[in-house]
Amino acid sequence: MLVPLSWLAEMVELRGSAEEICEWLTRAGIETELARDERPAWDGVVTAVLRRVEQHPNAERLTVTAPFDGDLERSVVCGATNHKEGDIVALATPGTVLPGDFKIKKSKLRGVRSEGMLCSAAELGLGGDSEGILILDPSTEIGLPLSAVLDAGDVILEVSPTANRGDCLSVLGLARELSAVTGWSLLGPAAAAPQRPAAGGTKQKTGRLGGGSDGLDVQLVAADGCPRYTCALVGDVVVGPSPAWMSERLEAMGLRSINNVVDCTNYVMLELGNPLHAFDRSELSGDLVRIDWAQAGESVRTLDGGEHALLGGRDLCIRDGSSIIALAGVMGGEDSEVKEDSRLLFLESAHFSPGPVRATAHRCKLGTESSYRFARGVDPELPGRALARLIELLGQTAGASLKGAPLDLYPQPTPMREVAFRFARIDGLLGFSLSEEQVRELLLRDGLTVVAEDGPAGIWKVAIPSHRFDLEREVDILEEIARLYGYEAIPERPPLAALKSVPRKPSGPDLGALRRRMQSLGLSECIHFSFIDPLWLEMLGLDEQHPYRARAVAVANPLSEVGGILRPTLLPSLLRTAEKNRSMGAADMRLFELRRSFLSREEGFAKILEGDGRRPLNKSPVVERVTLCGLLSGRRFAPTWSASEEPVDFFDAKACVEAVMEDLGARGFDWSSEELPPFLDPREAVVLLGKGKQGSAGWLGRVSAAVLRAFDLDSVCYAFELDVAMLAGRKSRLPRFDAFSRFPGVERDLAFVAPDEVSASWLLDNAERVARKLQKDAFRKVAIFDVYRGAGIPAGSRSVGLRFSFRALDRTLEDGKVDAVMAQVERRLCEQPGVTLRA
Amino acid sequence: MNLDLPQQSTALAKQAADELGAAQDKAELARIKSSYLGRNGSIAALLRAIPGLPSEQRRDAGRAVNEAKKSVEVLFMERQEALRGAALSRASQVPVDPTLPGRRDWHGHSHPVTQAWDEICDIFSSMGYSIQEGPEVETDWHCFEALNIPQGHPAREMQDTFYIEEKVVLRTHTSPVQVRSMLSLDPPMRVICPGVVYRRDNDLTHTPMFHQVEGLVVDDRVTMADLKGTLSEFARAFFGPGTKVRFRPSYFPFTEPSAEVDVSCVFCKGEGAGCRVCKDTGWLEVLGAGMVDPAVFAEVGRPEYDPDKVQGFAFGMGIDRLAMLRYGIGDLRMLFENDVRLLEQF
Repeated sequence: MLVPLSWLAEMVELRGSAEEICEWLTRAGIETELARDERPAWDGVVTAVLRRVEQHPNAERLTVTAPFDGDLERSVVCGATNHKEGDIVALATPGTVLPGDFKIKKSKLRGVRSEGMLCSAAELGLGGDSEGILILDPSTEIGLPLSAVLDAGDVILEVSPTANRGDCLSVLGLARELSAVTGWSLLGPAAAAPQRPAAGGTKQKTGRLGGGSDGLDVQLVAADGCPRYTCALVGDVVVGPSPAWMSERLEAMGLRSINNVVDCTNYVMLELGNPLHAFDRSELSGDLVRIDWAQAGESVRTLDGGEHALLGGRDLCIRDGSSIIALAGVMGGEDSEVKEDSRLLFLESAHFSPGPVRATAHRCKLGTESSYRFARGVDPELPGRALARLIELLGQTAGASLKGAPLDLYPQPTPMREVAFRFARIDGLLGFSLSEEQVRELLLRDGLTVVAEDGPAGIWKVAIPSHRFDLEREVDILEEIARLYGYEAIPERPPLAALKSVPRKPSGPDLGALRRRMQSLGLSECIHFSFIDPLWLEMLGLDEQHPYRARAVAVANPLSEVGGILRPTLLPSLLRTAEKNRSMGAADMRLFELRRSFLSREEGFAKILEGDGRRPLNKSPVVERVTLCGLLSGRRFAPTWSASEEPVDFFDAKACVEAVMEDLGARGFDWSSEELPPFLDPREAVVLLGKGKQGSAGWLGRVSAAVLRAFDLDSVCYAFELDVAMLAGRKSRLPRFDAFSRFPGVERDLAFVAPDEVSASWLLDNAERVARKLQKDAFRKVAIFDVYRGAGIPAGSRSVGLRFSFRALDRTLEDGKVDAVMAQVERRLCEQPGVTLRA
Repeated sequence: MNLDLPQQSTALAKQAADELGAAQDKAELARIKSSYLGRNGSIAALLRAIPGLPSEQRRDAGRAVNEAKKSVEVLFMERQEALRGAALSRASQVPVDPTLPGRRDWHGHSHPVTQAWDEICDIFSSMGYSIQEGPEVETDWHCFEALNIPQGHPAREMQDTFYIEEKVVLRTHTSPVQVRSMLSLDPPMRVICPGVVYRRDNDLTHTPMFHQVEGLVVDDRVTMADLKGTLSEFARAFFGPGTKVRFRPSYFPFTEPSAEVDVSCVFCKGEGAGCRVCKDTGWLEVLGAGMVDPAVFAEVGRPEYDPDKVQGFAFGMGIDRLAMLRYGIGDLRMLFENDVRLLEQF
């Protein structure tokens, strides 16, 4: 909210600068800053009396004057003609910089010394014509800064009260707050005693307003949405432009001046805080105004031209005998808008409940000055006062006169609230103590009346003025005390608590360790938005039935530029980032991301939301899987003066996956070439299946050429993605010591030529099985030490070298026994068609 | 059998010398040694032949064979030493230019947000807080209702929300994790909840996804002074020993009293004038905090959290902003662009 300081000054005695006011309010929790400082730059301009005015000896049109500022008499040459001896003028002394960056210097004009300038109104930034200098009131004291005698510009404050302080959304409210914070006294309308509940109101729900043919029946049906409806009829209205003082203030506060009637309603709203509305009485049919909920299927055209379908029983409306004439507290209807020829007005000054106004404004996208205020709460005792002020201003600016008595329907007046608090809770919650005297003074400044007090150990009671509807509980009063006393007074104290050990990491897999592992493998961490464009899934070649698409979590109100679904896989984000980096010239890409991916639950939300009837289940509404995705592209080795330039391949990516599986203690997973994801090239791809587990725990492979093209990538990419929780071992397993032998071991190598259909893992698994069976205690391991294609090996086959290690715990192995094992391994593997021992 | 043992010994010694001289590794050396000096070696064979000689020849033959044996032993030792020396000195033909850079492997980087996240969690861990996490897609109840933000509350406007459906949202803060913690843990408790959060906002200084850490302490005595002490301690640990903390009244539906917390500007050290980071104020707004509103305890609804028996404080901070301040990154959006030129700096 924008507030001119000059207006605030009418309601509270300002004993500090604009800057200090901002500081005071901000420190009390009402964020305030200088929006505009329209005060002209008058530093160096002082009031002075002209002791002499003489003709310039060398110029007919100039005079030589002798301004005296009480201290010094100067000689100033002046080109104006409207001044005479004895006039009080505004003297810009040398060094002054006037508005428009106009510097005043000592000079000589046609041979005569000139030590300054006598200013015109225009030169001072005051507007008006520049003919003639500014002559001040003869009673003006001389030697004063001009800013002390002339109030020319205003300062506009921008005030942003927090959502609970709707009472500060008016000049009156802000004045009260400033007074509470500073102790400065309230003035004029603000100093008036707060209204008592239901003062002047009638506890009726219906009433007759005005008399004769213009009279209206007012029926307050929906008192739950409108606790109070105050209204009046005024006649003899002449609609026209507002007086300048009014339109200037409205414009300073960011409102457009429309006509005197609309401006008066806005003016009173800004001044006191109660939104008001004026209807053209002649457009109301049926001599009836009714405040009621909309019926299902109804709609209204508001005065901004918008057509809004309404929700039955949910949108609060003002209606006449035939149709809806306003959305209560939000906006008036187009038909009953005040027009140039409106003469008789129906004025509304109501108190609407925050909830319905907010809901309607939000749904109809009609955020207005009125809905903003009602949604945050308005003083329920304000309508009568606001209406009186409106009638007064309409009288002044539009010649309006009241027709009959105003009507104030207030069926259930809000009772005066008293709140009790335990004095000891000041120290108990805030952590510092105050004397009873200090507390009493703070409460008084805040407009809270202490109605009962019971020493520093007892219970105190305060009466809450109607405008502080936010104060309801003990803790609210404690907050007021802390706020007004000043948060800077709260001491800093480290909490005291029992020293107990707590787990340093959340339960589950150690994600920090996974990140460090990825880094050690040379991958850098990315963080992408969880949102992606669903099109990206199509670009991955996923069909509609694929779970990533069928179960994607869609955002109901997405931001179009970031995408409308929560990503079920991190791959497309990494592909997009790889492409962007490639286009910026990066050659090698080694990226990973460790984030959640999202899939909706097959059973939906309903069960979780329903919960135990009172609150939802303490369960995650969708499936969130901690997912590790990696992408490798470019060279295998970091470029140095000696590194080879060979590109990354499948096994670099696989090494990453194996390392992660090892770190996670993943057990019981197998690689499979079945049901590969469509975005991988099937020639270099595998998925990871868990025994007895549904779905795969991850995949690994070369991204297919089609997908690379779809993502505009021009380099081969290997990628992997793992479901971390699925891979992680049940319990974090401690390493277990395995005794090793003091006796020498034996190593044997066997190389087999095997056709490509026979996988390395088949050779390895079968070799291991045989060796382990025959030398259970001495067999240590078998590993592939070499894979060779080329001379001496038939096409479609390759040689796979296996290295066996044996070592017994309790003896030196005999060569003969190991030889026998090797012979059995050879026999077993060569049973497989096409497999032979390499010569 | 040729009985000229001295001659044979000399020939054997010479042959051994040639073989040993040609040996290139330890294994070969060992094999040669055993073929001459072993129990069944050639020198042993010569020694076994001595008793068969005429007695007058035995003495000379014995001496000759022993000399041969000694010479082979010496040659073996010499060759063994020579090979070991060669292996250890690894004399290279190519001169080494020690000014060439070392041969390094790829090394990856962790994201600055992750680094700030870890740092914040470490600081609070050292103060005895345990780390709690929760879902990013939340129910309306966990995200709002339980936190004293009922439907229609203006505070819902403060955080424009992404909806999945009417009662399912992307969490706008990590406060629901506080709720979940209170539902599963008993007081006294100290927890810290880091996580990803979402608000429907996308401009120069807002991204629709960002990161928060919230903390919650509940027992029967913590006060606002404890809160201020805790956040001061944190600010000094994170930004440096001289950092100061300032509290300003504010409003959050789930805390009362509530405070905006400023720390003295890390760039101008609180001087203010001429500082672009803090806009001349000397202060940076980095945290929100307050005493847990009794309504939140009531909504948790567990007897352990009876609002008349427990009290607590809570605080929250944006990790991204803290990371930007800590590492001097001026543009929030850069954190999510994943340009490797940024990532490689961390």
